[in-house]
Amino acid sequence: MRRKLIALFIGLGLVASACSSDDGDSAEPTPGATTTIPQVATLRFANTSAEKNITPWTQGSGYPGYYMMTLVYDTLAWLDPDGKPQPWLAREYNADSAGLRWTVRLHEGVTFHDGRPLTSADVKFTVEYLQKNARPRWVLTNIDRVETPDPLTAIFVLKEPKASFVLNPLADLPIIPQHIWSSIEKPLEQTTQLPIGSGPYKLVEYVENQVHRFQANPDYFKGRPVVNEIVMPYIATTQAAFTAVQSGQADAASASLTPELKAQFNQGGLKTAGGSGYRGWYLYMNTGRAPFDKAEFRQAMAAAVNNDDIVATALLGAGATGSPGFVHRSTPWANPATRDGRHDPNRARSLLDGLGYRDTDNDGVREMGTTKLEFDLITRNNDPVAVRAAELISQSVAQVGVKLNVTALDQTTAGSRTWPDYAIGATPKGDYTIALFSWAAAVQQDPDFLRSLFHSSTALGTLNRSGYKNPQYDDLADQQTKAVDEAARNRILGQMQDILARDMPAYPLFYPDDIFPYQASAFDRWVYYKGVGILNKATLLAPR
Amino acid sequence: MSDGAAGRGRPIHGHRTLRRLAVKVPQYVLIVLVAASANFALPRLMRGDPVLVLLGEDAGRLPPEAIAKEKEDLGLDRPLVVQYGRYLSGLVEGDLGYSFRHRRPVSTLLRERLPWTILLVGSALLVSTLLGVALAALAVWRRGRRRDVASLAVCTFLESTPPFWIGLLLLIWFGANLNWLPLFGSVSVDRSTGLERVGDILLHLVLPGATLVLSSVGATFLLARASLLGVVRDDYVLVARAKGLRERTIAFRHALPAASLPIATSVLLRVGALAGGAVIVERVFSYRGVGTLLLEASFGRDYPVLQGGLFVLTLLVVGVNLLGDLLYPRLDPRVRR
Repeated sequence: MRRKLIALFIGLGLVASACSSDDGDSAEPTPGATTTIPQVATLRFANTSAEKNITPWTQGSGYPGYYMMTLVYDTLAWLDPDGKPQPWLAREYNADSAGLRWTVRLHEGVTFHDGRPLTSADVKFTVEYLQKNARPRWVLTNIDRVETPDPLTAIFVLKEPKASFVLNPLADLPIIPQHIWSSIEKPLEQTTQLPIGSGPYKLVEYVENQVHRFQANPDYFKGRPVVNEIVMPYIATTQAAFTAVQSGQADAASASLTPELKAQFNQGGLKTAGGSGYRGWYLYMNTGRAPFDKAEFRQAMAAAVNNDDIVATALLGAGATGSPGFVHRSTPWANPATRDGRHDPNRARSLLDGLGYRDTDNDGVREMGTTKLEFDLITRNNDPVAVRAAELISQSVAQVGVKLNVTALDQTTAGSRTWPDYAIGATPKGDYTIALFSWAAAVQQDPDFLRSLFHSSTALGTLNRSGYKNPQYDDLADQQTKAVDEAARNRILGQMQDILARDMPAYPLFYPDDIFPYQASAFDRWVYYKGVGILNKATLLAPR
Repeated sequence: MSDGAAGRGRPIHGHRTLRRLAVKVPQYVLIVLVAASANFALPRLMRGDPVLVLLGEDAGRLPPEAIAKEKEDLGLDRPLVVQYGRYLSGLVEGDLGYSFRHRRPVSTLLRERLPWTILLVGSALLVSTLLGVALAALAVWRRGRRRDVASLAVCTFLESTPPFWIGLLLLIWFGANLNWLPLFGSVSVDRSTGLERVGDILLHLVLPGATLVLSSVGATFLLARASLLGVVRDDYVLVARAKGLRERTIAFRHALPAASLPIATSVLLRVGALAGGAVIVERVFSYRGVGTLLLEASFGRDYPVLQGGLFVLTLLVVGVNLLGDLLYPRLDPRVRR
């Protein structure tokens, strides 16, 4: 029996080697190429995100989903790998002095994949179509109209000035072809029809939970992409994706390694790409719930937590600590005065003493009357770093007499408990007291997020998970959004950070480094898009 | 079961089967109804709003009308009783609903995925049964010796090991050392055809199949070993031995058929357990079956897929059990009466 089994396995092995076609991913120089960038035939990119069809309405994740979509579609401006906006479909864009009229001049000769030209009519159509079929990412209610004096000029007329207009929509909104979408009434149903855009790649095959296949667009207006075909097999777990890269069954992966695997993936033919990111983990406190309704109490919690220790222990040093002013310290609008959090258990103790919480029964946990300082710390169970960090937080606040029970929940449940309910049309109340959860890089890339994150109005503060209310902050947040002058805006943003550092509705704890594994022999010029990932236009287009 | 007809001559098989059906079918219909209701209720007991998952967590940025419209499109604005009624009447008409996330009929999604799960579970069931019984026969034949003790220890260990752990070990070990088996997917993403494709599908079956076999072979082995031990001391085995037959012949020809009854029953009963294990194993190996579909639907709170998928799985498991109920009298003459 055993011998037969072995024979069977060997037999299958022979079939395997006979079946596998030649690799097709060896790099070979393009004849007559002016640059030394090699032309790569096929790249296999393990995708751990269950992406659907990649239209603006059916696409799911931020990374890699949005970046897969922008291989097919183009935006008017583009964020370079450092997060700075650059012209893209637009040759240039500028606003009038009031910041109410944005004139965008398009590149000549840009075509969609089906050969039809991309004109200002498509820009106008995209805006109007999105106004009718809104997506949370692109709420365009502030755009009054788009004028199209000629096919290469689009003028956005705004109702109010918007300081972040270049970041979003200009550098974020994909331009869709009018001749295709004008007949589509239910865009959310576009789950099987392959998208047609103007981007460097065409999506030529999509089988859900199996594969996305991209083919280079040889006529791309910014030059032919350096990789001919990108195959993105869906791999459901990160461990399997990493193993696939390790064994050479995939060339790179969309998921970032946990820090302890870094050394293992930097040997043999393996390398890692990445860096310090903006994707971060934040300690959120429900300001609507006692005792977290008192700023002193929230300050005590922040002072009790040891940021540096979390980065050193949970991330093995591969990460950066957060700042009390909420804003990432390497953004241009970061307020230097609120950069550094200080781990200060004694300050935490005296703040708690001052509020009247003392450990009267000597069990190591403070209390006042019948109120004991014991709470559930909610976090997500699908990220090992989050669970480790939550344990460390629990240990360090125990030193000052507060007991936190780590409660790891599945992502959707954790989200539903910590998300303000008015996101789905009810009254604002989160069903949590204290929680550890993450925000995507986008939150630190556009300062306008500071308004959504902490504004007390349910219409504007759509991301206000801590239920924070401060009229002075609201006022400043409203001012910065319209402040077209950059220096003036940064002054206001600085004041907002002062308030946040004092009131502490949320404490940014740490930003894990991104560490993406890849096979160097298959492709070795991955460009890390700061805080996001390695699959993007910068990686796939030769510098010009 | 027995009435006055017992002992008054040979029972008519067809008639018996019909009567058995008449008793069993209402029971099974009741089970299916209860299961269908549970399949409706359980997904809705999970926290998390499907609209929120669908539109993105920052759905609050949208005007309230847009969210209300989406709720209406998905039928979630209706009272639960109405949703339940629609679900049940849909089931009666053979309509399993329309996926929130995939925007395709649930029946289409299942038609694409079910063959893969059946292939995986079916082949694992076949291999683990054959392997378990063969190992048990060999072990009993040499009971008390080293091989018996070793198989017993290994199978007890495997029996108590969770499938995802076995799967991960296989994945890492094969990925790191033996790089000739595909680590993910149910078929290669390059478009092969014909015989090459068949080979490709079989290769992709090896690791997830082996995981399921390893995690279930222990149960078969232990059961088969116990039943074999029960008959091995019977008189007819003694007679066979006295006739001078070879031990191997006695084990496989005489003891095994007599011991096969509980084994056959357990095979059908284990379909449910294997289908449950397949959900986890499919995820570890990104196998494109019903398990992957259902797990994702549960993360995305895709009620129709959960309801419909679980209902079809319920039907399959209940159907196999019914089959067992009907086959049992044919296998065991004692129950025919």
